[in-house]
Amino acid sequence: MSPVPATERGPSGPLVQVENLSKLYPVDGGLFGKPRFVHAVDGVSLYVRRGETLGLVGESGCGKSTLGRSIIRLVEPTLGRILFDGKDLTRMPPRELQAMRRRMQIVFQDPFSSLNPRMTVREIVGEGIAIHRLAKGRKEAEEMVAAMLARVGLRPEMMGRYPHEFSGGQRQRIGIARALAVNPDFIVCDEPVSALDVSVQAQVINLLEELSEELSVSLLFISHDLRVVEYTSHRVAVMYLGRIVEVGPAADVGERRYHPYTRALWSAMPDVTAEGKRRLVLQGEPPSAVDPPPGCAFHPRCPRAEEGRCDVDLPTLEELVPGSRHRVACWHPEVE
Amino acid sequence: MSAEPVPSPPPSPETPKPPARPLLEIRDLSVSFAIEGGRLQAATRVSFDVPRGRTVALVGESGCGKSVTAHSILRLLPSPPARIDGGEILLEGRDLLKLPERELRAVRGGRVGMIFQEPMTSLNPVYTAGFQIAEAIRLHRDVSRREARKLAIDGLARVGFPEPARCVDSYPHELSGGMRQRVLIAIALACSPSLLVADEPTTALDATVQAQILELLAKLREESGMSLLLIAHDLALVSEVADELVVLYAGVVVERGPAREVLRAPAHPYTRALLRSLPPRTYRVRGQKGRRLPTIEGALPDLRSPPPGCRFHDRCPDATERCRVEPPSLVATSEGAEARCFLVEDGRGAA
Repeated sequence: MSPVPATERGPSGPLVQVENLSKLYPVDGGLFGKPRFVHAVDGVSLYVRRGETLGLVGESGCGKSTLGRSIIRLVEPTLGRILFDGKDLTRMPPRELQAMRRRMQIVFQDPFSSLNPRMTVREIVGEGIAIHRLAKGRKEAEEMVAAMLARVGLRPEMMGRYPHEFSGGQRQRIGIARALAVNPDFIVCDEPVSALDVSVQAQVINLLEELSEELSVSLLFISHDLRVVEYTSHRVAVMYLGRIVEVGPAADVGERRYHPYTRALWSAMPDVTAEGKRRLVLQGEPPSAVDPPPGCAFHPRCPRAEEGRCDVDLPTLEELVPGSRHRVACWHPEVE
Repeated sequence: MSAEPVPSPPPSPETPKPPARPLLEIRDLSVSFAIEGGRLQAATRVSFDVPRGRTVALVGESGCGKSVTAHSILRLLPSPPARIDGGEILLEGRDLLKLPERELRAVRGGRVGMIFQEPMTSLNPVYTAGFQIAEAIRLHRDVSRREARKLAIDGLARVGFPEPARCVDSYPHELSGGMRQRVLIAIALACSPSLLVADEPTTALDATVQAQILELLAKLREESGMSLLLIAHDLALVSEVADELVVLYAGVVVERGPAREVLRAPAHPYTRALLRSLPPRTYRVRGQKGRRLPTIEGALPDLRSPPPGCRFHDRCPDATERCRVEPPSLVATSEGAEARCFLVEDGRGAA
């Protein structure tokens, strides 16, 4: 079955389509031990349309970063297929993939370690332009870098400076300029605002939104912060222990919260306006992705788990309301 | 110096319950750091109280001086480069800044417990959790090893370990982030402090674990009657547990008062801007053109030579000439809080 509903096909259909993607990391099973694997990403299917922002939310260790990186093949997926603009990235010869890399970029979480401290901003932003030979000559390359810096709200005169001369928010703008410089179609934003102060966070969120609208870039917006993801994304996917447990239009996921885990994440999210809100505090912590629990991986922490079912059978993503594009993988979804 | 406690004045008939002296009073605390090109004024005349049995949250963004203030309480700042330039930190009336080092050591981990942001690095990796809790107990109380171990197990049970007798022998690397933070809380509470200082205790933790730790801190505070000073950058997070809020900007207290009132009707333009820049939950129309989050333009002032007037003036949408030259003082707002702003003084604060 194709993960893309019929209504989503056609010319404005998905730019990125991921089918049954898995990434397994071997862990030491001990001498003569049976080799064991961390199921960082476990059979994930998703799609991102042109100009769309898909939010990917989950706690640390759920595999959201690995998934984001596998999609653009910064990490080699173990199984599965990635279609980018109709072409299968997983079987692409290196030369062709190299050219394809211009179209898919990434912005990292840590604006301190993701920029080479020995390179000037001109070199950092200009590197992609040079690699993909996007400029005719030095002068044009420089103009492109200047335009890009201006676009992300930095003064082009700052080009000669080094990363340490900038604040966290400014560095994140440099990272965004680097990603945008090669005119990509798709950007994986891996926790782009998590290391920033609230007021700076708002600036970077606004910038990403402006850019995605003006340039029709598709974004995969990865974050542990449901509040940020819900605000920035058209659609939201909730991930738990390597799998997507709920996906759908941001407003639907936020309002209905079918999956008990989505509900718990939601309830854990602090809110200044909620006075005397009763929290649903989950017990325990996410289990290890080495030998994940059988059945639904969430069942050991789930208040609605049913013995003999949730701990045995793995639920698949299904639409509760046909045509709603809001899908949940749960035997006992929260439906009032 | 008399060792006797200060006698409290007899209650007058008009006020049946006189306001007890706050457990902790910070008065005009100024701290600076020697850095290249001068001294950085990290905290300037910071004053606030932590009443008994209450939770006070000290909030602000990076560089606002919240951690510097918290670390000054137990004199944990390395000196040099740090220097306390003035002020008093009174714990039950005693100035901790003037206490001899030997007496201060009895306060650290005794009357005042502290937990830090990184549960990954705050524990010693070569000792078990139980050993580290027992160590804290034996430092302050004359008990045998066996008794200390028993108390450590009790401590682990109290902070929510399901199998304390087993976990007492676990090494830090065998515990998850949330569990390590629980061990640190157990250490901090080992000697039943009257004040717990928690410096960003949940920042390094996941959302669902964050909620667990906050709930635990609130529960422990209630059970023990201690006071909690919570240092945090996340206003939304502290809003659920704090009784009082102290908002810092560029080393200065810009607003303080009952948490509920400050959050409902923030009076200082900085507090207002900070609250507005949180992504709203009710406003979910992605794709609507022109929809943007309000931001705070500009950057923190250079704290080597802070501006003479209000420290927020160059980022404030309502700043006037007066704000540039004259430092405002804290004035009472209509909401029972205090804000350091001329707008409030002129009665335009709630606008």
